[in-house]
Amino acid sequence: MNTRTFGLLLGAVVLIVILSIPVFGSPSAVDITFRTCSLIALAVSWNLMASAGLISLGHSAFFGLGGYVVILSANLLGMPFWISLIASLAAGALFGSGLALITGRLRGIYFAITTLAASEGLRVIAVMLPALTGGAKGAFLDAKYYPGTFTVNMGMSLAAAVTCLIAWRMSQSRIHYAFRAMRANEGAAQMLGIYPLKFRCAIMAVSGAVASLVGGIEAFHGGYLDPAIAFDLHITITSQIAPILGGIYTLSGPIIGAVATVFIGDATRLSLGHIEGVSLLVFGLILVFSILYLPQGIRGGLSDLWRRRSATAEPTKMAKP
Amino acid sequence: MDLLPQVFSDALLLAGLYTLMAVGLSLGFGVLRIINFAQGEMIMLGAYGAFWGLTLLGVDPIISLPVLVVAGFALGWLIFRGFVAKVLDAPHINQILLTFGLALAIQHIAIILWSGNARSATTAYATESAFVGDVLVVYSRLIAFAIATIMVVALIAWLRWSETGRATRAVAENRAAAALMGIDVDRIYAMSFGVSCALSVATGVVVSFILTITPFMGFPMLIKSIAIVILGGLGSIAGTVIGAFVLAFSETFVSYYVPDGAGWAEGIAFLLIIGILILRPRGILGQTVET
Amino acid sequence: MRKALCLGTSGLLIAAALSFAAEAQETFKIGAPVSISGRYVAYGVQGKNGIEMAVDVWKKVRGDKVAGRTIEVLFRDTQSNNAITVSLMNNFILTDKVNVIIGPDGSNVAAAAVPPWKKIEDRPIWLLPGGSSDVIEKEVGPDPYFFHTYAWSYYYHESNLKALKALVGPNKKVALIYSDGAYGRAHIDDARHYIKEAGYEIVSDELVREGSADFNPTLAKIRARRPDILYVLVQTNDAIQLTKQIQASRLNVPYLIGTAQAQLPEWQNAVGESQSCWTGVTTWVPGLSYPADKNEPKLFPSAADWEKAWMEKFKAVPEFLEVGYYASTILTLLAVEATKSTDREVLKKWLEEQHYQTPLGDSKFIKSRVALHQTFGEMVVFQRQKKADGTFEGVLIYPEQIATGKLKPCTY
Repeated sequence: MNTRTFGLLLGAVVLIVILSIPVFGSPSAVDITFRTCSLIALAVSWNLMASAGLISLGHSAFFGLGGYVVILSANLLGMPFWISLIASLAAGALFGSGLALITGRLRGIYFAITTLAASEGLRVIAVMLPALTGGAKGAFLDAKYYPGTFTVNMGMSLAAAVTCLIAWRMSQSRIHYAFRAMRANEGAAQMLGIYPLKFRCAIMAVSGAVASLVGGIEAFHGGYLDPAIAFDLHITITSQIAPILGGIYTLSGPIIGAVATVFIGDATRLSLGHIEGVSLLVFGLILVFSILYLPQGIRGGLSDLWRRRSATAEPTKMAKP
Repeated sequence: MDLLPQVFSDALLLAGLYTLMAVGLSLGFGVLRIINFAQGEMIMLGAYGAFWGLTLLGVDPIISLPVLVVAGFALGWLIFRGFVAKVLDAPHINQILLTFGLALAIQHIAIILWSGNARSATTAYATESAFVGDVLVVYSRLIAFAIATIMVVALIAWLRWSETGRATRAVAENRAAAALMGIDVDRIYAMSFGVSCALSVATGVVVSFILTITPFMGFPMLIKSIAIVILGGLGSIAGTVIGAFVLAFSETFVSYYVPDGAGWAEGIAFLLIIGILILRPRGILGQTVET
Repeated sequence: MRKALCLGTSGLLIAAALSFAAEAQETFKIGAPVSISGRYVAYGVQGKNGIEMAVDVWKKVRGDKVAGRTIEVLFRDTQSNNAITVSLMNNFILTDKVNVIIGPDGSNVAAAAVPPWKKIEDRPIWLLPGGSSDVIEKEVGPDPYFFHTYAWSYYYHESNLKALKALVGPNKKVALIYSDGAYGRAHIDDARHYIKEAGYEIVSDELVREGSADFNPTLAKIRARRPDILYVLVQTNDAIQLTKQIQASRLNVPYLIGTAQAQLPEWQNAVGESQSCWTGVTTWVPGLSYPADKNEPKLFPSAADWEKAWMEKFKAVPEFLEVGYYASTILTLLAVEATKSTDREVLKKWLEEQHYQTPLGDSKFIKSRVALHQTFGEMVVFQRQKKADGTFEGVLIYPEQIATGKLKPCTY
């Protein structure tokens, strides 16, 4: 079996699992699936930007924006679930492409810090406009706009599935090579006839829209939002941890990583959660050691194993940083 | 009453504190090209060190400063050897996440050891002050300013005139060339990481009697330090000093003169970052660096 | 290999989900969401201590079981994170099928817990011994299964201003400082309302940033207005720095009022001498003279005896959340014991009718502005005063019938 068929199979299995659990699963399976799908979508969205060489330290900006768009459009304008989500999708795409235009040619750490600043800036705005956002006191989604548990959970599963399909389509098309060239050297990519700004706008619009959509669905799911939650650095960090843990710049990496992150997070929280401080300590240590000893992520580690086991099989493509 | 002299005095004293806070990050960033997300936790550890020194041993933070700075250097050295050295050539994102993981772990070790309760060192001078004309000068902030000035001047002198300092600057400018000149790049890295941690520990000692000490105090200070370093320009200590002054003066002016300004003041840092990165990505005094 | 792993993982997920469902019903389950990591860790630990103490005392006095059921407390860490809190509440109700929920602590996580609890039809009884923000009250609404065992934000200011009017007199100038954080925003409107109602003039109304490195700009502006009363609405962390800065900046304001911090040992230890003359308002403070309950003197001893028992176990002065969690937990255990039932209608009815004298005061539930069940909201006003031996104590100054001393103007 070659990698391609294997990838397709894996994708199909994941799709079936995440789409069937909201229908058949027990409450706790539904809960785990919801959180996993949320992280899958965020991780894939983060990985999309990363694969074009754009490290985002501000994914919480999109996430929080989407959340507030949902709360405001439902509470103030009375928009139903799907329309609110489309609004948050559009807001994320606009903000993403706007940020791409503003940051222009910034790269690497400079770009990363601009996104961090954008997220913190949005948080300050949310804190300082209590008339609109409820300020630090927070705002509740009007309960009459809650579309029901099944719709919300299915919405998140669909969001994750569609995000994965988009990423898959991109990995099959020529755009994929443009991104790889941009990641390696944007200047050189430009000389090859790739116009980076165009691609940057596109990729950040897609990535921003996805993260914002996740924020929107999470706002429906949680029903409450305040600036510290919406623009929490934790969102940014977990959406990076998942791809890193799974295997950055790959298609399946963020998905594997998201499952692993949720699993590790729950395991430490449930088994060590009664001792103060320990659950996040363990999480931090796992992060440190997985970066030191699993630099290609779980996917890379598994590929190594795979190659050693089957010497006759065709060489698996390794992810290149 | 004319507020302007008070505004200037407040801003100046705050700028001193900000300079000390950011200069450690600036050094580490400039030499190793790594944003150390655990830098804020070094500040936190320094603050706890000073607090426990005072509470358990009755040693004034200013007296324990030298000991803690040396300890901070040693800790930095160890962290470099144990963790950071292994990701020097890895992608930025791995470095960011590694140091972030360390930060998370250190924070929660602090919670386990010392609980999440907020604390503050209660020295006598922490709440004393004097009026100079119309201007109120708070002693604790004056002391902080003095210590910051001494530390930053010492750092600049070390970088300029000592053998290792010059080697450090050479590595910061061009690692490959420095290695060719026979400089032990690895040792310089460990050294600068240690010094950068030591400076943050010093910051912690200074703020232990001014601010509130909690296991989470580091992160907001890290964010502000990043803003200052970016503002001043990567790899330039002088730039960092200017960045700190720009930020402290603009925050203080906004707090005094804009309605609800104290709330918006935090946004200034982020506005400045975005502005400066778009208009002049190198910062005020930074060198050209491909990152 | 990889497929096997993937299938294995999903299989595990499903198996784990199924195994939770089948569990014996002969236990009384308390769901306790506590923030024992992340930014609310100090609160979460207090909540956990309070519940543990209550279960310990119960086991000592009444044995290991309650109405023949084993007592099981499910402590789950919210990690001070709202998404986790939502997931915890869902799991408590749908998977663990807990009989009662007690907690969570910080205002934001408490607010985050409301929608998931509210949207489930057969939700269990919920006792909330923390979280004073009125947005929580408005969102919960007149829900029959919600029992708030702590003061709402407006109680603070109502009590404070009553005390000030009685002890300081009319026609005063007030300077307000509030933070842009959850605490400041939740309190500012009611604080303004009661200050104006008392006939006081607000001469300065200043917003400060949570975690600010310097409050001097705000204090310099206030100094110029020469207020008689400084009224501070900031969370503990900011209060520590602000208190020290207020002393250093020689404001010459005779009355310093804090609402969030003055009762906390955490704040008192951190500010040392600067705590002098601060006035605070709280539901509980060491040294209260509440008597023991007549029927349950072992579970609800007098405030002084309870404090002594606490000191023995934890080697520290109990904090207000700890006594709140203690009293709430004991109430639920008594409810199960008395009714021999874990049915929420039965428990609700019993809770509505019970009336004890607890270390935290009268336990009778009354109506508040919106919520149906509210208790332990009675507030006392106290001042931190220096004793002859150089240590500080909280001297009760209001209401007059329990006062142990007089309000003294500040001298710095």
